[in-house]
Amino acid sequence: MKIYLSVLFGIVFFVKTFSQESINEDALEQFSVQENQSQDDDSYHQSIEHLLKNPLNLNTAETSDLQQFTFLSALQVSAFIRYRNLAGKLLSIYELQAVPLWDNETIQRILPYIKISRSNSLKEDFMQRIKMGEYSFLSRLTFVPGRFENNYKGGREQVFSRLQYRYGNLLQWGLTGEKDPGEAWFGRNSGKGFDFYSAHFFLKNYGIVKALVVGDYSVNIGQGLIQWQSMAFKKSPDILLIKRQAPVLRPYHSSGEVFFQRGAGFTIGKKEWALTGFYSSRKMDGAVIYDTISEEKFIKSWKTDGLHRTDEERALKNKWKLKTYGFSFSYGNAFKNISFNSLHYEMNASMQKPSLPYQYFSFKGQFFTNLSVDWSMTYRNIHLFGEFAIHQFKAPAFISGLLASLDNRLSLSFIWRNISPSYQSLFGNAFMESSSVSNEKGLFAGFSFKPTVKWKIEGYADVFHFPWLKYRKNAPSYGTDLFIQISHRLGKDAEILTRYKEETDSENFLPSTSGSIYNGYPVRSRNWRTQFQIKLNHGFIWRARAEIKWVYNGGLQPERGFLAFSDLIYRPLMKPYSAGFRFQFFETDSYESRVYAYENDVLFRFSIPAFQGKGKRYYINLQYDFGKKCSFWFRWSQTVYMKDSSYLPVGKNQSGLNFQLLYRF
Amino acid sequence: MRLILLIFFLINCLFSFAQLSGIAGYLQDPSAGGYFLDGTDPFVTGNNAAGNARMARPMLGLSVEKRYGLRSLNQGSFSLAIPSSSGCWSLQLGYFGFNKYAETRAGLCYGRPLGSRLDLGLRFNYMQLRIPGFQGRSVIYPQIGFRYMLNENLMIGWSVSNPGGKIKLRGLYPIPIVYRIGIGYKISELTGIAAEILKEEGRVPAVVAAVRYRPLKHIELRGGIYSNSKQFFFNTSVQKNKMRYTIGLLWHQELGFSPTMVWHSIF
Repeated sequence: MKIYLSVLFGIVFFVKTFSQESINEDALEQFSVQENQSQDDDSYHQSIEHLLKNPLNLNTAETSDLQQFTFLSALQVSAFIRYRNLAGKLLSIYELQAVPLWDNETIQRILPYIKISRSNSLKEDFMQRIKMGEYSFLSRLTFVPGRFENNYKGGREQVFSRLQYRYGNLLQWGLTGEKDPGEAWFGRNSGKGFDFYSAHFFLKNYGIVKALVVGDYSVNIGQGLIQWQSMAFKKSPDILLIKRQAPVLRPYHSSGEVFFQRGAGFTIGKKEWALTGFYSSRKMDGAVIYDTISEEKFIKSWKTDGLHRTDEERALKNKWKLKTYGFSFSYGNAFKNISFNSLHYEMNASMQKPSLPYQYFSFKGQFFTNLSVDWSMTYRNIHLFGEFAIHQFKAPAFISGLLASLDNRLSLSFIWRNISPSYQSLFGNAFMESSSVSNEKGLFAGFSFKPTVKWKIEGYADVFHFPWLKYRKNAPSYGTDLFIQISHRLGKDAEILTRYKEETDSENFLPSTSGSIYNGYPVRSRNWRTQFQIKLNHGFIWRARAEIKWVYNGGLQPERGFLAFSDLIYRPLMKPYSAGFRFQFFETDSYESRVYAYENDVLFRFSIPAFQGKGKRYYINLQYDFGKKCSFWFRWSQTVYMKDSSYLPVGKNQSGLNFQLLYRF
Repeated sequence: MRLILLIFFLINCLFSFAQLSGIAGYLQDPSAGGYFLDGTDPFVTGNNAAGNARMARPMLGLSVEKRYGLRSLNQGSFSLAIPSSSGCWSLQLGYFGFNKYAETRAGLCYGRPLGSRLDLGLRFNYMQLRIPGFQGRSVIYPQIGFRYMLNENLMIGWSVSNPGGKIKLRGLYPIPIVYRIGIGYKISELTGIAAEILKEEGRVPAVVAAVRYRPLKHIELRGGIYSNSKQFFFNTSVQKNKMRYTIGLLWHQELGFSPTMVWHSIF
């Protein structure tokens, strides 16, 4: 019995070690590379962390509960629901091996977050939800490196605090405050304390009310053509995760200041139908000008960085108002579903159309309407999904995909998208090459092949076309993205992988000073990464990576980038502390050949910096649990640039400090 | 002017010999049978000369393709495979182009097993190029291929076209050497994957990867990609009695679709 428990615990620990390290790391890195920014929304991270302490009962889990796991594909969710409908409630975790399309890797990844229990789910009694939940208070203080101007109104520190109450996933409310580096925080320059406040109240599954949210929340519709505000990934080695799936309404409690709604929303439903309605009214940052001739106000720009450090930035705060309202009616079940969606935006001033040629189709005006219909259907081992949307009743957008599990060892995925240049979406986030949902056609095809239990080959090919101009592309252009990854598990304790990625695109060569319309050139980049991870004795994990990048700027000398790091992580069993250390070297010829690397940070914080120039970087993470209720994190990082680096920021050695406290009561 | 540009394009395509002109997309699909023992068709020797070595029954096939939807780039192929006591003979004839530019191809191939695992094939290809107003050009060059079965589900193959490298189109320009190395893995009765690395002289290596899937007994779906030209292909085959009908589609993001129809019969 002891041996059995030890082995089972060891497996869970191993799974926890690897699965926590690998969940979304690749996808988050890819997001940062494509969007050139980090992900602010930590809602998913919070959900997963909550599930570690309050595992989901698979015998009562709904489709939406399973969809929150980003490593579960739509096919796997459907397969599980079908299996449970046919075979009845599961008796033990070992029965998961009988679920079609649930391979060992999937089971290992989900094990820390689930349980198999014959008892009913959490009681739905409202008073029980209010009394029997748990409060948590999180506070984070970060000192960030980088340029710091004298005209900033506040100090270098970034402060984030969140007070939250949670009863499973049935009831939660909370209050969040955040201040960015350089922003004022209490004192003379700020009477309100934090620069950004957020509050939410969220109720789930209370009779006919499937969801009720008041305060800040995010709205996710279809495949993201008209609206998707939760975390969503694009291309990554997990080729079956191309489908967007999440509840329409989700509470918002992150530090990002832009991508959420503020108001109220509800979802009611019974059996196979559900109706969602929502309303939001928010003040947004940006420049508003007054035209003395037409005597009208125009919104000249929309500021989305959330920074209010200087007088100029503070002058743009909350300058225009955005009202949003819409509905989504869906009919179906876990195997087939169709939804009709409508979304309207209303601004208190007309959005002024930008003047540059690539912005020719940008939205202008005061009222903005998007309609869409989305569908999904599972047939045996194939899952079809898609969305068709129309903007202002004129401009269409279409996305459709297919997931197919041809064999236990082979899976395929395809997505075709055709989005016209005149299609616009304020908060859309679809599976595309571009960050904005507009002006793109393309076909993505991916495969995942496991010839044996220990080997895995994954890859994708994406060819895309931008029918109209884009930023830094003064003509319609084409591009491709090819990726292949081979990974091998060396026993239980080690994994090694190598991957190769090649992207082609085109860009303007130089600013057009000769009056010529277009002087573009093809840009090709190649990226080769090899990394391994080994579980050593006594709780030590060693991980290392080497990555090389080549960028060919059409006729010019190729630029190279290189990055290598080595991590040592210490997570002893049954101990309240853990630690991590990284040493890294990087060298790039320029900004174009910069390399990204995901870094372990304090809980709920993402760190995926881009590295350019030549230098070394190291960080140390420490974590300590003071009993079951209180946890503390500390992180210190430093980047040291070498004298001959092509990039030398102000303040050669850049250090960062994080302190974080989480208290549960 | 368009005609001159088209001819110029086609002549240049001769330098991308195996990839654009003259060889139908369908014929370059590695999952079409060259690396599998089942599902072989009479055009299989286009990829690997040893592809017909274990063919048990005579086959006859026809294919037509309209490259990128242009009539000027039509091509058709005919193939006949006749097993003999020791191996199999194949004859393949093809036509590509239009009245201002035409390529006529013929190939005679013999493949035979060497033991239980190894197959060898030798093929002689004849190509004639005809452009009105210019003297016609023709050339004969060999192609040799091997296949080896690592086990009943896994096969590797290697072939080289014009191995000597000195053959030219009647002194005009050289026929490039083309190396292919490929692998086919039959995952199950329903599914298989195949991939080839193709290296043409003077060109960057290319990878052709394909998947084969049989959702129903008489239906086969194949799809894949050519890495260098970034073309996707999708082929659907339906078997009815001894006849097999295939509709294929080759897609290039800039040049568009190339539909193909193939018929072959097993006797």
